[in-house]
Amino acid sequence: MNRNKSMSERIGMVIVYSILILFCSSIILAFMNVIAISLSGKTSVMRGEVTFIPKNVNFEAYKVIIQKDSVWSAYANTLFIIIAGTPLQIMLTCFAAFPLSRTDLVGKKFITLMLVFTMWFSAGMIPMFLLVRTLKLYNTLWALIVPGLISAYNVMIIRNFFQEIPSSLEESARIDGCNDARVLFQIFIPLSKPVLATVSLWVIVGYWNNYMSALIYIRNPKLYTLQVVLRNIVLTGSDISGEVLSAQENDEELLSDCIKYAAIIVTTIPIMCVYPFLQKYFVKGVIVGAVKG
Amino acid sequence: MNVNTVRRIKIAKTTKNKNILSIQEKLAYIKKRKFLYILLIPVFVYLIIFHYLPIWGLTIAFQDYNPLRGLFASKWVGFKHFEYFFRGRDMWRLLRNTFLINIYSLLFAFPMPIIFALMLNEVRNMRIKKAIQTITYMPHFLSTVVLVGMVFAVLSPSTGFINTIITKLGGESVYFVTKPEYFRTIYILSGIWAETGWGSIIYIAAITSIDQSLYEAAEIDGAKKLQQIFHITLPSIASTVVFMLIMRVGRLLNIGFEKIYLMSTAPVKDVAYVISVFVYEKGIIGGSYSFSAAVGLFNSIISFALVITANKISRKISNMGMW
Repeated sequence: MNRNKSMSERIGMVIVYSILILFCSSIILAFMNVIAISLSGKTSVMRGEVTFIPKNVNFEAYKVIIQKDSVWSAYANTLFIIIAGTPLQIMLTCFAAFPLSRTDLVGKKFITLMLVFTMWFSAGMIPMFLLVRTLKLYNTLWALIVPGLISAYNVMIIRNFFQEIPSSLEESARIDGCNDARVLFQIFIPLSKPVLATVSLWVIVGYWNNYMSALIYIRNPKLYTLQVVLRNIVLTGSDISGEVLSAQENDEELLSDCIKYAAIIVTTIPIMCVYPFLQKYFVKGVIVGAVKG
Repeated sequence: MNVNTVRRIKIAKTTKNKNILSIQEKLAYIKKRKFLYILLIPVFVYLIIFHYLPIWGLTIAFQDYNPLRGLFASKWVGFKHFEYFFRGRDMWRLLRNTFLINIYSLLFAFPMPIIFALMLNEVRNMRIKKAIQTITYMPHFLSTVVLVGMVFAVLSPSTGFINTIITKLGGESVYFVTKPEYFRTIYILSGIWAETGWGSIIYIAAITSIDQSLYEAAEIDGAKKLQQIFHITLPSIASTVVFMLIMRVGRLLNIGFEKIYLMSTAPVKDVAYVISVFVYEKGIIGGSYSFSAAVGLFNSIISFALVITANKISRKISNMGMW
């Protein structure tokens, strides 16, 4: 369909492209700004010479961050939460999704309502806080795992996927004598690997980025997670032990901005690196969840 | 349970006539599909402990909760905490801040993913389109801490590129994050920056499902691009828009805690003080459990009412809604 574009349409396209490019640039430039400062020498930064391109490149700021024990322990704590929490979440989500995917389930409406209601109304910060304390989860890493174990949204996504699995597969399995358990574990779950992968990614990113729960439930500095430690560094230029982060570079103190921005990059690099490769999984999850749900 | 019963159950479920199944048949079903219900046991336990128990725990909003005495023995005070909140000097400021930020957000931030999706739809080159998508989806994955950190970095009076541009153009650099008049703008703009790309996914999906022949027919009839957008694209995604709008309106009183808390520098506290931060400060930090729970409950109930109302209105106007 090749029709000559009118003048106004051409102008329109120019405007559209300009806006899109401007938007993308703002994203790229923001990252460049932060990375550049973190890699630059102190004097250049102080003289205002650095915006997008680093000057006097040095990795001192990164060395400071990497050598901090609190950063390592924060990484370890966050990784623990991810490794312990993700399989648990996926498992429980499937446990909820599978029965709900059976059209003839007795009590299905009730159970679905019980689940969906949690999306509409939640008790809030204070009751949850008191509950976590009562359950002796307070100040443990489990407080960041257990309260969020089942998300109704994820259950819907997996349930919808289970429902889309052709019933002929299940019927032939039942004729062969499979019971519910084998249908779930030997047929449905292997078939659901893409969806489970997507949901897992959601969960992992959620754990990685979580700040508020860690802020509320953890008091022991040794158990602080990544975002909490990062927050302290960025806000105060010192880490959780109150010790001011500094290092010597050419016999001079490193600028705290450099250290702060290095901390930001260090915390977010894994996600940024992994994300482009997994993008299509993330996007698929949104579409499956929203368009069908 | 024989094949006939199974068939009857299937018919019962599909014809939505629950009376077809007797109690005995229901129990027989449960007994036969024990495994399904065993799977649901941990789910139930989790939901009850971590969702419904806390809801019951909201009753502390009506008590003078004393942690030593616990839920049952604390003194019952009815609406005292609510009254205290309504009469207090904080309430109007909190409501004003929460409401204003949300209204501005609704006005300015909500349409952005839609406009972005429409614009992206006009990009013909698949490679460029993919590149734009990859770039613009990325900020969504930044944690709030990183996002606020980057926002502060970019707005820094000394090193941020915004101020660099300003000074290069001859102006003076502004310490944006300490100025209350900029707070809402920064909050909303950074939200737009981070979420427009990702938020457009659902609209892009809706747009791609539009029948292409509609556009072809419109072109033959001489419709220009803009007319096509207004008469074909927008109506087709209207139900998606309404759906998202309702979800958004339902959150009108629910400003997320994290971003505001992280962006609150001392000078901007007056404009930045929202209900969620208030609950955190009074409750978690200050230990006024009952009072803050009451405020939180007030917040939740209004939000709940908003979602129901928004859905009813949308049903009346456009016959579309969330349920």
